[in-house]
Amino acid sequence: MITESLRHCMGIGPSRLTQLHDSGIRTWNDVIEKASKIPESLRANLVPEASSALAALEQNDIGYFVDRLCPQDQWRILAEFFDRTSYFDIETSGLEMDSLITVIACWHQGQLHTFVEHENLDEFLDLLDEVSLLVSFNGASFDVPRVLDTFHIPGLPCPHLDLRWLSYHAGLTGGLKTIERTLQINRPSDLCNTDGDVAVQLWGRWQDCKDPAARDQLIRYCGADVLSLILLAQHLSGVDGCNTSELWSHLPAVEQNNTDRRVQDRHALTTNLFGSASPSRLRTRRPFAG
Amino acid sequence: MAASDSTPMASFVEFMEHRFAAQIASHTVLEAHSGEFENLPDRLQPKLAHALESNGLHQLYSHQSEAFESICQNQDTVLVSSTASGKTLSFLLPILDAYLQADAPFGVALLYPTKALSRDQEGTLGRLLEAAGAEPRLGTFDGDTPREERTRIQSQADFMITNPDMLHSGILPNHNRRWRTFLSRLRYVVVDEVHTYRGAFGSHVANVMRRLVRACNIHGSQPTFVCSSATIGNPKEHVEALFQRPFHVVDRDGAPRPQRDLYLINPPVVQSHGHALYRKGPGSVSIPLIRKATKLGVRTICFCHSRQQVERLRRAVVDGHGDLQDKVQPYRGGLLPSERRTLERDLAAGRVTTIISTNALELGIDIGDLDLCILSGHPGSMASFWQQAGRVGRRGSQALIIYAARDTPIDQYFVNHPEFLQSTPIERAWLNADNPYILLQHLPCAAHEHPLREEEAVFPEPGYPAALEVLREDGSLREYHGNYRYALRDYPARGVNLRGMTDYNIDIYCGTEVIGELDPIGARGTLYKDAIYQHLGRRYMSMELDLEKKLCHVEPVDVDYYTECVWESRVAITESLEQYDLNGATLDFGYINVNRQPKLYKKIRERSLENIGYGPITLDPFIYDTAGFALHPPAEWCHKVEKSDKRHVGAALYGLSYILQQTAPALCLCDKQNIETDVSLVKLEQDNWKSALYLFDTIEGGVGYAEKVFEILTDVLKLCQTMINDCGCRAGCPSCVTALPPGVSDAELEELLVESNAAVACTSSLITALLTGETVPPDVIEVEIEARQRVVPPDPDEDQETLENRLQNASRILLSKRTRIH
Repeated sequence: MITESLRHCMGIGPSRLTQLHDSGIRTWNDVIEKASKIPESLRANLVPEASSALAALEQNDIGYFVDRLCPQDQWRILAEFFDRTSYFDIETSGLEMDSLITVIACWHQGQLHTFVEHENLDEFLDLLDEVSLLVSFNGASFDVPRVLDTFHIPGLPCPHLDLRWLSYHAGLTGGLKTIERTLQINRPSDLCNTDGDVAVQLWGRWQDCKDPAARDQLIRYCGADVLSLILLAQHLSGVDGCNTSELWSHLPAVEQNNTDRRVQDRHALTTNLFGSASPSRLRTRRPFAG
Repeated sequence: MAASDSTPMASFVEFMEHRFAAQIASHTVLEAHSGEFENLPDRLQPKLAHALESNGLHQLYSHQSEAFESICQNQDTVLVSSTASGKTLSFLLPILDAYLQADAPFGVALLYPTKALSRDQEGTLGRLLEAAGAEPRLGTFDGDTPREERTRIQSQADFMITNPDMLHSGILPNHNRRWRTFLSRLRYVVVDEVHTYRGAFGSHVANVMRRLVRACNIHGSQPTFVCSSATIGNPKEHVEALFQRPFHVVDRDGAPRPQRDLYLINPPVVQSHGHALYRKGPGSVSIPLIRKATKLGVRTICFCHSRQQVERLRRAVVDGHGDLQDKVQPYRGGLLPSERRTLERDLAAGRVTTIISTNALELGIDIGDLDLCILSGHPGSMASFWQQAGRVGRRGSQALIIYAARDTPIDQYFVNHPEFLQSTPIERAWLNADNPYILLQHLPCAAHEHPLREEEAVFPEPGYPAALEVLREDGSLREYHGNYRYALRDYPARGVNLRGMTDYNIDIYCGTEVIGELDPIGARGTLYKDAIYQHLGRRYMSMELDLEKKLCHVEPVDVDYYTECVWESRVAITESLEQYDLNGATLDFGYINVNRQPKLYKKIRERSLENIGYGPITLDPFIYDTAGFALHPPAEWCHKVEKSDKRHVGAALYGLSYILQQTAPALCLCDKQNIETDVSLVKLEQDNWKSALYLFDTIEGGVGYAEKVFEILTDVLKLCQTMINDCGCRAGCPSCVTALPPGVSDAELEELLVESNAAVACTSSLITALLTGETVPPDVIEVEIEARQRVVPPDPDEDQETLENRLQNASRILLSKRTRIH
């Protein structure tokens, strides 16, 4: 329950929290009802905070909780507002700070929306206006700044949660792919061997060679990241989720059933040569010629 | 002077007065004044007071004291003073005082107009900051700053030196990330040499400042502006236009000045081998004077017009005088920073006593106190003249300014009317922060930094809403939550160049070593293949100029000539946008194509200045499109005026072109260099060629100056008329219409102009015709030409020198003959 989040209140450390729990105070309602049981020094901070948190909950002010709750408690936001959460991920033309966004995928109200540069990328801003809570993986340091720079806006119009740090506090470390393996989330086979660099190359093939299969594959790849975010969010928040296989069916299909031969060949080659430790310095961001 | 016969200065004056007795056109004494002092302010932190006192400073000049009070009250302050009158201390002392008293350290941004100047000031500032214990908090952030240093400055510096270009393209676009902390605690913005921000450049900087204020407001700070300016005609008006806010002006100079003697020397007219008469160059004055001054140890600075002239003069001085080799050094733009540092150190230590410089030194580079200043010709504006002359007489008891005239109409006017120098007002600086063309370039940058609101306090009506509308329509801005965000994916600041057309330099390579750099327009005129390039007294020949790779290869050579480029320029209207008729004259506004082609070069022998050959230049012309208008004089007027003399039409157009160049900047708020006039031929119909006057912006694409003049031409012409009528001169002068306006290349026309008052009379007639439609024939009177100045025989000691040289040669030949025989 979100109302059990007390760690963020001033003066609460691990030992004080245990004390409160021992005296039967677990929720904001408890704080208000059993105020007399709270040590006097704490009461002055705790009671007003509990009542404003309850008011925020009444008004569905998600931003209030995103701004205040401790990282250890933030999964409660997910659990509380699970139905109102949107998930997003971006692909870029490179990994530098000034590289541009190429594709955005966003899961919003049970549908997967995709936005492609030079086509409809700006419409993402319109979608953002409808979003109540935006969730990403590693977005605080990568995706969100990229979005702000691309659209030249000073801030997001909605609260944002980064699952990377929620996972960290839940004992899940590493990148999204590592966590997927730990949680045994299985993507469709054509999306298993793609990573960030391949996305850069796919975009290059769409731009330089006008290969529509590359564009579709990139959207699929980006969409798959978003869908596995949902599964991760389910795991973190403990909400019983939807059918996994049904979820993958939301991914758009590649037009000609022509999966990315060149990328696969290349990957087969590097994997044969270097196994799973295929060195990143061998990867190139140059688009394929021809 | 008799009292101190023994001082080097006195012997120098004696030498000069004797040597140039016949050529000194005037001697003016600029009175000494003793200086006004005030005690150190009471509120000054003891740490600072102690540091000042240990440097022997127990009092402040009155202007420093006034600036202290004003800045302490957080008033926007502009300090007007001559060079090196303790300017840096004036603005830094109150800031350091506040810094030491503040609870939390605040940010100070120091803006200098050029990179070179920022590097120069870093040392000076460092010493002052050391006294306050804030030295490690100083950093210079410009294009040359290495990456690690950048990070250090962004996170730690309280005092940041930079330039407007970096602020525009590096700092403001990143205000939300890397510069957030610095901007949020920015309390002072110091803008030095604020008079350089005028014209189009000034208008750009004004908009950069608006963006800075806006970014600061977003981060919750409201900095105070502190500026310093050289003496200009309208300092208050100028800074208020630049920063769009009221300023407190501190302009009484409390620094003491010794008596300064100003000599105007006109080199003599002599007869060449071909019996033609010509006036000797200013070198005939400056070379012997520099030699004598250096031998006597008088600390001297000599100003020349171009970098290559500096190098030539320096060689002429030291040739045959090996002992002067080390003591006389050139100092000019294009030297590498390390070379400049060495020179400044040598000058301070007395290893160098004479420097020959271009106007690079007009900006406040600290070279200490000098006794003698020689100006080779007029520097182009009165403000520059006084700034160059102000280089001498900081300390010591007496200073000398010597003005050696060239054979140009303006220089000759000065030597013949010495009172003119002191009575002419100093030029004013103009700029227009609301120039719609420039505003249009900065709004995308501002939107990129932070979405624009429907109304922005820093951007005023009516320009702002109009420009917003244009940008919204072309899709650069898009509405977002009631504001306007930048909708394109590029980096708009990169496309806006504050300084006009060139933002890069050509590197000059000798082998693998870079020996200098030059802007691409200058390179076309001085680094073409086979050009002689002079650097620190050595001669190089340009082997190849690659404008695309931005480099030039030179090789050392040993020749005794230099090269000079001949330009050809064409101006034509490519698309006419608007026309109107002004009392019979046609005015045609439109896009103008300017084509400047370096055509050929002349080889000129040094010293004798003989033309010893030509060579072709095969470089692409320098072409740009801009906006401007053509003025075709009324046909009826032309017809009537031509009857008495065909040349009168040309005289009027050249004269009008000259006076327009002088007056238009004041009305369209630009700098003289932002507009250009040109008189050229246009074909009206078959076999009927007519002259026309062009006036256009010198900035690619045009920024509306010529357009403004086109709109208010009647006002401009009225101002010209008033200037001519009010001028006290008889036959034209540089203040109204100079007798021989620049650009005249026709020999017959030149003859007419030189021998009569044609320039001013014809111009006046044309202006009347344009304003009223009446044709008043010009009243051209031939000026009585005074009997040619007598031909001066070569100076006796020059004779002596020649004789000695010959004898030495003869003796050497005899000696070698004897050795051979034995």
